[in-house]
Amino acid sequence: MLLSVLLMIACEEINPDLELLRKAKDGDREAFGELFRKYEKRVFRAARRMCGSDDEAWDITQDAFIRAMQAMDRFDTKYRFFTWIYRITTNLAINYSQKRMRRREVCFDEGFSAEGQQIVKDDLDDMAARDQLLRSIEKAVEKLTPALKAVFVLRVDQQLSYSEIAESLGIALGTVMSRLNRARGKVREEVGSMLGEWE
Amino acid sequence: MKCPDFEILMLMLDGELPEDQLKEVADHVESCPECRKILRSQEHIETSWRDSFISPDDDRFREIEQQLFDRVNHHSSRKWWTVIPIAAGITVVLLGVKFILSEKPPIEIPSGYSMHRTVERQDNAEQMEDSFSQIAPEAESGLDMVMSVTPFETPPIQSEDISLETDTHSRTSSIGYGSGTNREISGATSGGYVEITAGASGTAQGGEELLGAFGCGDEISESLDVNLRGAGGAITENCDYEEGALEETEEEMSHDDRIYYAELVSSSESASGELHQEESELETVLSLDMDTTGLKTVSSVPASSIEDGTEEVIGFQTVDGVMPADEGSLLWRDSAELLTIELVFDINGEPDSITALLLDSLVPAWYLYIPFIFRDTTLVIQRDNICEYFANINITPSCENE
Repeated sequence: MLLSVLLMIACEEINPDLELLRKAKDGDREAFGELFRKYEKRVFRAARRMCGSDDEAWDITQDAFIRAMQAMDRFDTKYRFFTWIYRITTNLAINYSQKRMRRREVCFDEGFSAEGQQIVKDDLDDMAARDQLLRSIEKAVEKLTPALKAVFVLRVDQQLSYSEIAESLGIALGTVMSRLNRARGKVREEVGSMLGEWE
Repeated sequence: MKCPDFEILMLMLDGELPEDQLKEVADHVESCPECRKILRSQEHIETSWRDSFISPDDDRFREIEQQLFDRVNHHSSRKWWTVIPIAAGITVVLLGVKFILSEKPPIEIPSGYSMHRTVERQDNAEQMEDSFSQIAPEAESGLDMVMSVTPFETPPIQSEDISLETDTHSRTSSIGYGSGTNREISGATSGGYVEITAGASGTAQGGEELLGAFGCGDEISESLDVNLRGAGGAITENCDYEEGALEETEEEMSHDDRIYYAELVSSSESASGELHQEESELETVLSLDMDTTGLKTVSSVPASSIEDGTEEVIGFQTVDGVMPADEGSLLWRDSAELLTIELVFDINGEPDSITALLLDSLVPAWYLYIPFIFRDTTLVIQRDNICEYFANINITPSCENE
């Protein structure tokens, strides 16, 4: 008895959404809605970081949850929902970026618009320097290949652990490390000359 | 202590540095202005970027949530999951067609794809450059494509990396060839991003990647990190392998005369891949499809292509254009009455994808934390049951230790 209780607690710890997932798999919309509300911001943010615009990020967010909902019956509850939804989001973001590239509308200088604007709080000098640095980082991230960008966003922006990233993207832990290092190297390369001012 | 590599500093920054190294590195950083500078600047870059994000209003999320359910309602007035049987039905029909097609050896290239090109082995960079300069524009012309590559018959070993970069529509395609460790390989793309992760054993620094339209990898010697064998592909600018690794590879890499080629099909919504090995009548092994959700479907196993009495090792590679790549290996042995599957783990204890796929059906997710239990284990499945097992991804084979 005690063992089964402990096991249940352990399962819940490993997969905090287990109960919601079970209900959602049974078609409980409210449960799925709860999952949506729990992860909506993280998904949107990851999507926005990986794609080109707010509009795309909204589309990806909605699409990711729709796909999750439709595939829910195949989802294995021994996995964590958030790593799965990150995976779908990443896949969709890559799809969108492919489509965008096919339309040849890539524009590295697009920058953040509306809701994605950076916060600048300091005085004008600081503001200009920070703005410049952020643009530079943004440009560097935009230039990363989708595989590198996904790892970079999940680690640096979403602050996932290496093992969570590996689970989300379905890649080996070592691959996470090597991609992350390459991504960071490329970003540093781009930001390069500006680093001196901040070191 | 000399200054640790950038990677080590980043592990420390991420809180992922193993305990046994942490103290030594931390002590060093404390006394080393140069390392502190690197850490500080990296932290500054990352926090600046992270903090620059402003989340939209909740109202917008509520709109999206409403639209989400509206869209699902649009497809079904009763329950949202009732759309699934219809989709599943269509999928079954499509898979049936695919299965029938795949039962006919040799495999037919599906119609409707924009390209099917074979690249013969090239002996030098110039020849390779010529071949790929022809391919790249064609690859750009279609959304979906199939590319076949007949690559090197022996491991392409070069002491220097050879690469060609083609900037096509804001995308870089690099080609070249080589072997070694810790490298990224990319080739002409299929009008998009295609990635093949190859190599099973991994390295201390992490996995190998083949980025490109084709490539294959195989583990040749356990004493090496990862060797690439018979791989079409290329080395890009990121060949940061360690000095000496290549020499070791050259010495220990074994040659054989098998011909490999990779075949890819990718679109924006799904992807699949196969690695073929041609030797007498032996051909394809298994195809694995994934949709955007990353949930896998093994759709066909053309067991008829496995000849009795053929003793063979067949590499298996899943490839996709839009999703994180998959990898794995199957070992098909002897009279092919039994499918023998080795469970493969890299030195970090990570299972390769086929191993993960198989273990998924056997044990709960926590196997990831105790992979050593399954080391040196081989699964054996009756040939007659192969299709059934894989089709359901619900394998209950017997396990036996070799």
